[in-house]
Amino acid sequence: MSERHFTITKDTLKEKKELDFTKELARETAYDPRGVEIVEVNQSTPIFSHICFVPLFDVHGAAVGSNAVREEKAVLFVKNTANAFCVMGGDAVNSIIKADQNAHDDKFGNQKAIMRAIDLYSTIVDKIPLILDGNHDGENGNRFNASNMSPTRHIVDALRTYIPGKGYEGPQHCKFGAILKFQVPTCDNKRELKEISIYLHHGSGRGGSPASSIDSEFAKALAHINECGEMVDAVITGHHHSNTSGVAPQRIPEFDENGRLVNIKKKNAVIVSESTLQEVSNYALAAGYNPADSNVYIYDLCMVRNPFYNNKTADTQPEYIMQYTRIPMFRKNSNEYTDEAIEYMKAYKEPDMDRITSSIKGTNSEKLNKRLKNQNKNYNTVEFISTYLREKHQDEVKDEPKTISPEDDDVMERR
Amino acid sequence: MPQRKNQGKNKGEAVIDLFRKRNGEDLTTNLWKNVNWATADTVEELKGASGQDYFDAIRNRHTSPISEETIVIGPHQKALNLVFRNGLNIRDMGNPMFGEEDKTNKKNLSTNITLADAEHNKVCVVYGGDLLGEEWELKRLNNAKIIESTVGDASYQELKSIADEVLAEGEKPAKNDTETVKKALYFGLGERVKVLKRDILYALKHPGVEVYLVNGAQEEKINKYFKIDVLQTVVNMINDPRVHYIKGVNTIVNVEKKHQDGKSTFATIGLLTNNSLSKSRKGQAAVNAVKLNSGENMANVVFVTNTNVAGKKGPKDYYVSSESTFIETPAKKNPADRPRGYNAFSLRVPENGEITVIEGANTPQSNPLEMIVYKEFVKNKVMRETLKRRMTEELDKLALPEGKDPVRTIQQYLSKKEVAPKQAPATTPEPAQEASDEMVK
Repeated sequence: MSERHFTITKDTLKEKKELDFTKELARETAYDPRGVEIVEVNQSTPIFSHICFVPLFDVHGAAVGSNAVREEKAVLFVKNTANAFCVMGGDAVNSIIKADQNAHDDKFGNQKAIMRAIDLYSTIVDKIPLILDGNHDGENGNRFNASNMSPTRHIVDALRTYIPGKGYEGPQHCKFGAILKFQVPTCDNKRELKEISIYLHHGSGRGGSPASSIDSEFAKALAHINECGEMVDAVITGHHHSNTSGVAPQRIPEFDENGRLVNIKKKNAVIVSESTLQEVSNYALAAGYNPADSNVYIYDLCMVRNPFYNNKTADTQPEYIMQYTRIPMFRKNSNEYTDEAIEYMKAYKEPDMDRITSSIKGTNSEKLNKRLKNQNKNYNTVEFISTYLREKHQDEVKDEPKTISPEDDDVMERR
Repeated sequence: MPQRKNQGKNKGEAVIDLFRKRNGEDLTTNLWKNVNWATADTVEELKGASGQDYFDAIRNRHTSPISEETIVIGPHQKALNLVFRNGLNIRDMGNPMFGEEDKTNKKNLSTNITLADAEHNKVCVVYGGDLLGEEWELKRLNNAKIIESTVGDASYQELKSIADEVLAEGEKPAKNDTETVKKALYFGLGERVKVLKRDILYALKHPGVEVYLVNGAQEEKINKYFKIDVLQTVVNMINDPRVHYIKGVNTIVNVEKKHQDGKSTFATIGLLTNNSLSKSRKGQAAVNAVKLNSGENMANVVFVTNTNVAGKKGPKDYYVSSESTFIETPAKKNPADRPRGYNAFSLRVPENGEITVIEGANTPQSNPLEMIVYKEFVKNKVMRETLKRRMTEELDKLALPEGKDPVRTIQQYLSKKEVAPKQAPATTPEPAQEASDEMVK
């Protein structure tokens, strides 16, 4: 057999994960399998005591009535705010096939909608920890609709990059539910690192009314959360386009090492059924959505000392609780930012990268090295670069072209 | 057939006839008397009311839907920050205030007021109804629990710290006297009003705060029973211009925002506070119950207090959380914990008049030190990446030879200037040139 002139990189990681998930799904009997993934936002040094969280649920890009200006401005807000994170909560793309019986309508096709979404969200890819499947753009269960394709899969693949030896870098694709965790220093002088955990899922079914959608989604969320044994600070869902919120007391049991119940801690969880960016359309009118209530919300999250905590209540009350402020990003019936959103952006303005780059451009490498060393005594340029290169060298060895055996060749042809 | 006694008359008429015969008085002139039937003494003598009196009474029964109070936001104040404090259930045993016994409830109030930032905003603490509890009725005294309590405890310091809660006004604890007395665990209206007054005074200790009192179902019941206006009484007791009273349980309050150019913008806030009947826990059921009991409110933003739910339940409906421990349930049902922590809001009234509501009155302000650290972090990141890029470019040019240790190669590259230049191979020295006249010149 003649030698191959091209290299084949086998992405075993991705295929294995897909296969594992499909096997798991095949074994599931439920219509909407309960899969909860835990996503931790890795921050090398958590700096900010306030996290700005911007969930983008039910954008329905390309749909008639979807406010593209607001979507672009929301992405710009996240880009320009230093402590901001964004989660795409499903239904980022409408993904429908035009049919007479379908009330949904799109301005342009799915392919262009996906391209647009990739182009828009690639500007903030380092600030998107995860992307959820929605019922319009998801993959499994009740999640693929008339178009029978998953735009989320394409968006995720485009936004992620594969780094040899490390795996995928970029937003994590969570098909059903996810618990997102941030480490933040507390707001008091101690600045202890505490964890904020948020449960996210797109939502499903018909809520019936804005207020009842909260109750149904919280019940579903609780079922998923209890399986993980986690105690979350917030539950954020969408799907119902209702823009309602609630507070629900949680009781989580604590067990000792032998499995005996020793304590029941109480915590209040925030539940939100997020708003949408799909305003006036045939579908929205048919479903009775209130276009005046559509908006994007900014959540300012921080960990503060629980005022109800003391020595006597230590068994039942957590020492630190999450405090949130929910700020509307846009004025009513307008694409302008609210004054509060502008103030927030100014307070946490991202530094000017062009200015920093241009100031460093003319600086000698040795001077740069000295400056970095002065800032961090433990920092060693040589070691840093050598480690980097060593890894690169090792990965190059891994990715060397392999000769393909006749058996593999058959498998390749089948694929 | 002989006529039966009192035929054609009802019992009441028969009694009046008897009375007339006994006293010889004429009851045809509409004189109503409060009579002690045992002794036939007249207790009180009143005239009957006329039709005009009836119409006036009906007219005055309903309070105006628009409150006389107006909340004014000054030109240098950014927003109106509301901190709600309802469902206190003062001195109730069945459903007490959460965290009252260890003062954490007051600590929570203080935290909320501090975060609302009265320096830059207008901060109002709204006591939104259900404040004085339900267990003030005399029937509770009949069934009150009897406890034994020690007065004048030996631990003087401990008692001193909670003196205002235990002792009556003016009473001082005796240092060494101890006396065990029996007490009825019953707290009447007077005691509850005093506790409410102390709570309001505590809120007023925070500078720049104003207090608004609103009736709830419990206050309405008290007003009916005692034929007084209990919250008006509290306002009169405190006698402070910062304390205001909003009458009614379904009212609209005007909010005026004064701008720096002298113009004003108005918006309205609705308050629905009589919702104890809504014992439903679920979101939509609670919303429906509120509409059934209280009706619609046409304000820009509506705050509903004293329900079992908390959260935003509509485009403009905000259901506020309460301070009591448990939710309201039909009798003999096991109560669940009340949702807590949804009682602070920030309202902005911009010039175009469209009110913006922020859930949570915590004014997010960045820590300038954090931004400095972040900028340095970003700068370091850019410097590292620049160095990395330059090094790799240089090393690519070097073409790292196979088998060579990359660490050593880099070390050599970086310390190029420090390495002593290679010595030239030993050669025979050239003969020294003779100095010529040209070189000297």
